[in-house]
Amino acid sequence: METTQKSPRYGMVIDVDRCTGCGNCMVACAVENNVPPAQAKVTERTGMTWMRVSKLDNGLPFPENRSVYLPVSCQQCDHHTPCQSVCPQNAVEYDIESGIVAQIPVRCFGCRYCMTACPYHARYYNWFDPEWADGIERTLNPDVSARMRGVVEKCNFCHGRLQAARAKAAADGRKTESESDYTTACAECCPTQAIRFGNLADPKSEVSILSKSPSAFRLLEDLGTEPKVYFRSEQEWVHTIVKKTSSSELKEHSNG
Amino acid sequence: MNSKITRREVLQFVGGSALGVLLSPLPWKVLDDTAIWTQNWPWTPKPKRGDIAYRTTTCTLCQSSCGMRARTIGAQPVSLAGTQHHPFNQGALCTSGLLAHHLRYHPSRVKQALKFSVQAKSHSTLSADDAFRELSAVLKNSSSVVIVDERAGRTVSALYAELAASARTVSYAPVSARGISSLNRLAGNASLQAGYDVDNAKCILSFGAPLFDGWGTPSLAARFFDKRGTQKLIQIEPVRSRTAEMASKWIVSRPGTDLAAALSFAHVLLEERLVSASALKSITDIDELALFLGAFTPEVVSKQTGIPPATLRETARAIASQTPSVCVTSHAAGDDVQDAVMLLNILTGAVGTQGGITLRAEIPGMRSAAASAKQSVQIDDLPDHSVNVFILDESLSGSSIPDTLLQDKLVSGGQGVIISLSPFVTPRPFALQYIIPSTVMFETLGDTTGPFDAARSGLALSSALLPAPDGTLDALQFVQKCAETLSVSLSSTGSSEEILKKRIGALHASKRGQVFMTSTGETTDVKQLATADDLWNALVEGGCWIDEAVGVNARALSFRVMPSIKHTRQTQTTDSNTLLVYPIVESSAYSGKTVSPLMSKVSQESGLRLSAQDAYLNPVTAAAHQIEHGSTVALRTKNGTMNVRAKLDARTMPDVIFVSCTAQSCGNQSAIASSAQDVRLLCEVSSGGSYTPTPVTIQKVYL
Repeated sequence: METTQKSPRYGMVIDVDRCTGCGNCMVACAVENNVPPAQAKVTERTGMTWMRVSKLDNGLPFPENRSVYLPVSCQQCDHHTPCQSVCPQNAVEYDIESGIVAQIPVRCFGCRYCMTACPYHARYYNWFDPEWADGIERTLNPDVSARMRGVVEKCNFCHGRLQAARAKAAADGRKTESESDYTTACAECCPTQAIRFGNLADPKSEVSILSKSPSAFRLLEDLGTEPKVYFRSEQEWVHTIVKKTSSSELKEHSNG
Repeated sequence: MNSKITRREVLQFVGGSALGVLLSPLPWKVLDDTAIWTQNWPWTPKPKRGDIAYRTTTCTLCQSSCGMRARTIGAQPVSLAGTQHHPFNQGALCTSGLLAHHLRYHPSRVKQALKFSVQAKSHSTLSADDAFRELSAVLKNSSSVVIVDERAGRTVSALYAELAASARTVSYAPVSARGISSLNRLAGNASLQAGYDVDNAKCILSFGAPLFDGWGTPSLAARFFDKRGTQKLIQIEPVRSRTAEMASKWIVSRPGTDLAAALSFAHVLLEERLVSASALKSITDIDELALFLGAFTPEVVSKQTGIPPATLRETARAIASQTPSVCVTSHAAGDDVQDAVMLLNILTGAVGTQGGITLRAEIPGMRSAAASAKQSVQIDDLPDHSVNVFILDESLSGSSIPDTLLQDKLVSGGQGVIISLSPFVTPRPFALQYIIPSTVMFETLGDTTGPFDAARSGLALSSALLPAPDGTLDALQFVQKCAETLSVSLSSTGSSEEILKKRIGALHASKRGQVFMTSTGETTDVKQLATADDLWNALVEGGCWIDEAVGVNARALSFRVMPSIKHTRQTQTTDSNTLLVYPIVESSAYSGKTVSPLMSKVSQESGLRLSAQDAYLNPVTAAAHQIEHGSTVALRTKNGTMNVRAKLDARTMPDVIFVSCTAQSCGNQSAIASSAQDVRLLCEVSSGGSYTPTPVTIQKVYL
């Protein structure tokens, strides 16, 4: 992908040793992006969670069993973005200016090729009309439109917030948004600061430094998709399990 | 020339046309347009537009009183986040707090007063006037009325106590934060106020307390992680919970054996003379206690708890040597466990010590807590079947008092009455129940005391961002209506703002403590503020008041322990092959409370948390009973039967089924539909109020 030297590359570093699996990131994401609550018939396979916290364990029996929580959203692939390659509708766009893989629901007609292509199973098909309990629709975020059923949705690093940051930068006479103006809802609401968000292209940024630490890793790194979401753990068994995990095993937590 | 069109030519034309159309943009345009048309149905909700603003306020859903920043469109909050640098929560919120702005529109919201018949077979709606007319007759004809206040220390708490003092038949039952009430009980002093100074503790011994999962303020886990290496957390629990996973040490114990473990630690402390002279002196019945604890040797207790004797001894030595240390329990623990754990705190000298349990001075501007205490009763101390009417203030976040306890204390035969000030439908089928609709967060001005996992006491105000719906009352209006019904005069009357301003005025006049201001992000001494209005404005804008580090002199305290624990008996060790059922609390932050429908993200839609009626089973146990992940199973104890969904999890102890007692409502479903069954009704309860692992049979249900 052709990029300019100064373009930011937004990414995340998630410290799984600090993640308590509270689920704040999941609900903050749903509030920010107007993802509706589940209807009665929704299950774990048909649920809509742009960010989903999965449990990863070492597979040993009680009491040797150890586990960590892995918040998994769109990994924002930087290279050969698989979902973009297969979309017949150009409903997936890679933003050269930010490195963010965006989903454009109005273009999507719900073929779900992208879901098949995504090795991280981070895409969700909207099986139901969006429905909020009477009155709760007044609490919807005005920066994000609700999506109709029949389209695929996914994390876009809180695109509405990026637009707001860009507008602020323009109003202040700056060419690009500053890192302090833009963060995602999940990073903002993480009570243990396990999720860090920022510009990976800036060598001085916190995420850039953390992503280069020896304890950092990415999911399914062998595929060469260059995800911009990194994870960190000091626990050796976590690295071992993640390296052994294949795409089909990740499907355990997928929907659709 | 032959003009006849052959069949072949027709087919060629049709085929060529079809191919041509496919190669043209037409089908893609049709698909594209269809995609766009089908996303513009009129029933797709459209977010409201309006002026965007930010307001800071305080969350009242639990005692943590977290500072929060609301993003509003017009006056309507559309998202919430923690207030950065707030002294109570350091910018963190819990899952429940993040969704607090949905509660105003919850499907279970009560819009009119409701009257539920016994068995909740029917209910009728009443106007507020009619409801209070009926309640007037109920209250005047009752010989024993108990007001339950689960958030003591608020301004309304003083008025409840005053009402109880003025009306002969009314008693006031404040419910302290779990564990702290044990201190009151053992010290024989209901006015003692205290907090856990966990930040300054070197060693924390937790008996199943979900420290990183809603036990205290949401920032507690982050604070612990930042101190890793200098602070030790020992977690005793039968499940490798979120807290156990991140603790410095996890000790596996059998469920329901916390009491035995705590008494065994006390035994070791006395046996190895690890108790300071002053601590020994403070216990008035120490000789009797030493004699009693003689039976709880690590060797004996080990058989019951499954904890090796050496581990029991090492742990006791750790809390005695790595001081300051503090011992804490789960919110769900019974009084017997709470008292035994508080005994450990007394023995290690943690009471009244920095890094232990700090004693707090009374917040200025309130009626004396000591005076209130004279009219105070503890619910547990009330004789069974002696209460005609319970008045429950559930206006902030519902009630954590077990229904079984209320049922035991109410007069029998379904003659008891419960008057509940609640924003949500909370049916209690064992009594005639009136629900008076209350306001929820963001609809009323109210005060809340600071977190219990902090050394110093605090106070904060939550603001009314939205108008309260017609017919709803806040707690301050409710207590005035009750006083009017009972013909009692209260010292403070008027609007909620007038009453609260009086209190804040008194707080300012005391010149005590400091105030955190959201406008500057800094903390200032109260004495630096020129007028009471300055303090009022700082608090209304989402700031908070923090007391100076002054408290009661712990040396002046004496404790009488034996009356609380002498009935404790060694519980029978069950056959290791017996299958048991035991309740598990999924996050104290929202357990038992009515939560936003969006909480379905963490339960129903992802399985991250147990939903109501989900159960954890060890895979080995499940295989032995031919149960698969996700299947529905019937659990049968001698108390009844309930269906649960099995979730296999290797973090749980084999041969024990842990069933969730979690939030009351999730998804777009009402509370009435989802609260029909409760694992707590299946389990045995000890005389001290703790749930006991109960033998159960399990059978797969084919739906």
